[in-house]
Amino acid sequence: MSQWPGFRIRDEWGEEFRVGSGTGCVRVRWGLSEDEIGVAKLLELNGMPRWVAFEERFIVAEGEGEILAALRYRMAPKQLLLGLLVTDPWAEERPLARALYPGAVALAPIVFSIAAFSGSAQFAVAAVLGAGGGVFAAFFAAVFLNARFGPMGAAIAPYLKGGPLRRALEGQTVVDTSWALASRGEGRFDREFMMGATLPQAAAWIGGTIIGALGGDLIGDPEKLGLDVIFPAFFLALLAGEFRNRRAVSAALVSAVLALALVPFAPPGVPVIAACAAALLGLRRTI
Amino acid sequence: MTTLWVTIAAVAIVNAAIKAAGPMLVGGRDLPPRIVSVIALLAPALLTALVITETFSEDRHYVLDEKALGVTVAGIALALRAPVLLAVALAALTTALIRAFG
Repeated sequence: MSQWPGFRIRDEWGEEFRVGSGTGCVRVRWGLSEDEIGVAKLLELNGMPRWVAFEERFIVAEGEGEILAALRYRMAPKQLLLGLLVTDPWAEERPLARALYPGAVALAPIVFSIAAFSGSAQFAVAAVLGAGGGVFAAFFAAVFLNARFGPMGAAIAPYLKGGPLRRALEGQTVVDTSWALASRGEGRFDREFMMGATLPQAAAWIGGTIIGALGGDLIGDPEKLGLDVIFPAFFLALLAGEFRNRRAVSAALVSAVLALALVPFAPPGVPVIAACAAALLGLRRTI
Repeated sequence: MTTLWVTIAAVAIVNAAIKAAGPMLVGGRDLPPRIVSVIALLAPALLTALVITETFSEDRHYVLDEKALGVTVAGIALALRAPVLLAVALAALTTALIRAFG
């Protein structure tokens, strides 16, 4: 998290930290007594009592002569306890002011894991937003990626139990790996196996996100440890289990060619979806 | 920040709706055999595309690096009937070693 100025304060004890240069520069520093009025104003703008500004101590982010954000802190032996963050509600376009509180940023992927529990959608949103893409592009990339759950859910529907509502709930446990593992070939599925396979995955996925979001810096560079190769290697392992007949092998070959061909022309994520058109080979009676 | 949360909420809702649609609409009826065979091929097609793009592409560029060797090692291990976790661990180990000493 070294990119967050709030964390660098710890290293530069008693110093101020500057982000940017010239008039647009945001300074993060320990609050002084003359900042109390500015902090009180921020608290008021956020619907909180002004007196807190005079009772508590704050780390402040200052830009263009204004206090943009204030983070309450207390000192304990060998510890800096961070508390409430208030920001200027009109400083929406000044993300550096919010950079004071990496916790809020770390929280987003965790909530995402719990609410959507869909790795591909999360990666798509992160990739598009991270590359500077818009919200709508990110949204549609995720929906496009998750569209596969439509036919996957339809395929497993005859094997789910109960009325429409219960089926809809059971359908939430459809994830790529469980669905693929529960496939018994020829379009048959093992309902209990799928749901049983999803539970530990959900726990591991959400737990892993929490660890990654809060402690990702501890393991150092994931690429150095070869961790980036885990994804394709794992997908390959799942794929190996899919080669039950010649059709599956043919579909895989067509998909590989399509995906490779589209890489230079389509945004990340799209070649994967488009290559799924290879499954249309299933419309042919024989191959 | 707000837009990020709105995106997360929207994706979560649509994700749940997509997952609910199939089971609710299709119910207990059997699907036409041709549709079933298309769906049966979705998994191998999707997984192949993921392996290919994760291994050989980055953004819109082709790459051929340590990852390819790691995935090859995983493929050999899987062909020799190694457990999934072992194959994946060998892939990561291979890639890490080549990056460290290659």
